Amino acid sequence: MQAEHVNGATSKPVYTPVELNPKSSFHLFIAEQDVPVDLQSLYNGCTADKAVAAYACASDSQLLESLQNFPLTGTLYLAGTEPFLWRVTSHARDAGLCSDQVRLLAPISRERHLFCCHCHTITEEVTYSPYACSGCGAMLEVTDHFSRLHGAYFSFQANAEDSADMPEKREVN
Amino acid sequence: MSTIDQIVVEVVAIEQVAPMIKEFTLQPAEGQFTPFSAGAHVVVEMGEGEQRYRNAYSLMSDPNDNRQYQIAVRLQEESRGGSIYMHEQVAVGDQLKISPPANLFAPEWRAKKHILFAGGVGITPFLSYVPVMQQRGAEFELHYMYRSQQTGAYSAELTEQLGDRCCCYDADQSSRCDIAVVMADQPLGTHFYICGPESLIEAVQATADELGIPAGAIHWEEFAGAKPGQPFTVELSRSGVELAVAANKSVLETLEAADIDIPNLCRAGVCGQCVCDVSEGEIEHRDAYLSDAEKQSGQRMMPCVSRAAGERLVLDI
Repeated sequence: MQAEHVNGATSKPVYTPVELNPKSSFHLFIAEQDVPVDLQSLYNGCTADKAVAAYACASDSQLLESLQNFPLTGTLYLAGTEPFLWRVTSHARDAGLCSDQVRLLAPISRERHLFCCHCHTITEEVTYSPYACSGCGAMLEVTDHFSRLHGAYFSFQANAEDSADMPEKREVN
Repeated sequence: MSTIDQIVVEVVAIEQVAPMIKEFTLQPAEGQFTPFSAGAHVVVEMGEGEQRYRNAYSLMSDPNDNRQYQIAVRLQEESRGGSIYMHEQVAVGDQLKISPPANLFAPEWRAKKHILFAGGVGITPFLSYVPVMQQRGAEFELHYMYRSQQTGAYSAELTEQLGDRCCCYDADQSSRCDIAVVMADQPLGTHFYICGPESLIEAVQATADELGIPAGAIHWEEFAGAKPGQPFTVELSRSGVELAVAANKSVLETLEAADIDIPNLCRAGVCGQCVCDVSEGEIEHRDAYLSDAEKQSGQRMMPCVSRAAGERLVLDI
């Protein structure tokens, strides 16, 4: 199968511009590491009850606690790398938030997490394909099939028939 | 007929459970029923020829009980025939055909709390929710609105079984449910379910919108099938066949009467199974399945409920 076919995936998230939810009684803005300009301007434009915070890790205990105390009528806004966005979304879902209560800003980088279908290791900071798996070392073909649960893209041994003959390196975005 | 094999069933009991509602207990003519999931429905086929009707009814028995299925049918004064047929023609010992159970109204099991709003005969899907929710130890409340002079079946049993988790409101006793009070200040992870007339569904949706409750937490099942309209002609472009759609028949029913097989599950414009491509003619969309953009494009329609806006429609089948 050609990579072009594989890349017809429909699971790759599409990020549309984020607006404030005017119906919400509470707005929580969460960023990875630093609050980016577009999240800050959303926060500045919000006149309702609100809070903003930046976390280095999507499983930070304070972040998880803020989700536990989140109201049914609140909206959560997230900014950061794609794996961070989906990791927090997954925690939010466990806490009871509906998917329409979570609004994701476009990822701040095009780096991907890559899920290896052979050893199940997730390799971080991937920007091109094929890419060496950090678990089993296989040269992985990067696809656009995205797992919202893992926040990672599916990948498999590139040119499995002849792994000595690697396809040309290409950027992924 | 249907793309899914129908099951022949025998009516083994009929009970008048409210002034306007009859309960039917069905057993398979041969073999066994399958268990179903809470909120599932079956499409019951009754009668023959011109008098053939197919209506969807929620299964209200315990989903784990595969010995029998139960449905409840409210007599609809404005009925196109199905409920009158069930009330007046069907007797114990009769055979009917049903579709296998399908579910378009399953509980959101990730919810932390479930709030159920039932209006009249809309109690039926929740009767299958209750045993499963009790078995799972789920937190739930049932708010049951009815008119005791017409509906209100099972209110005494539910009150006895559920205690203060069941609130009954009998409009004939001037008891009304304040939906906004029920919905306000619910914890994160609460999901709301509505089965009943369109007015109840709209009231709950409007209240949710006002309170800022996410639309994803609201689930509903309408208890309305196709409504009548103006008669028109439908032409099938591939075969050149022309069919007359009567005022009290849907396009789907007209196609079925001509032995044209269209997959379908809900017959109420919800599931999307029966979608047809339209090559000519203006459509009066009445479904809840197609997006606004799809409706505006005028290229697809749901023949189970939608009709022609003019005198003729050409379907690409």
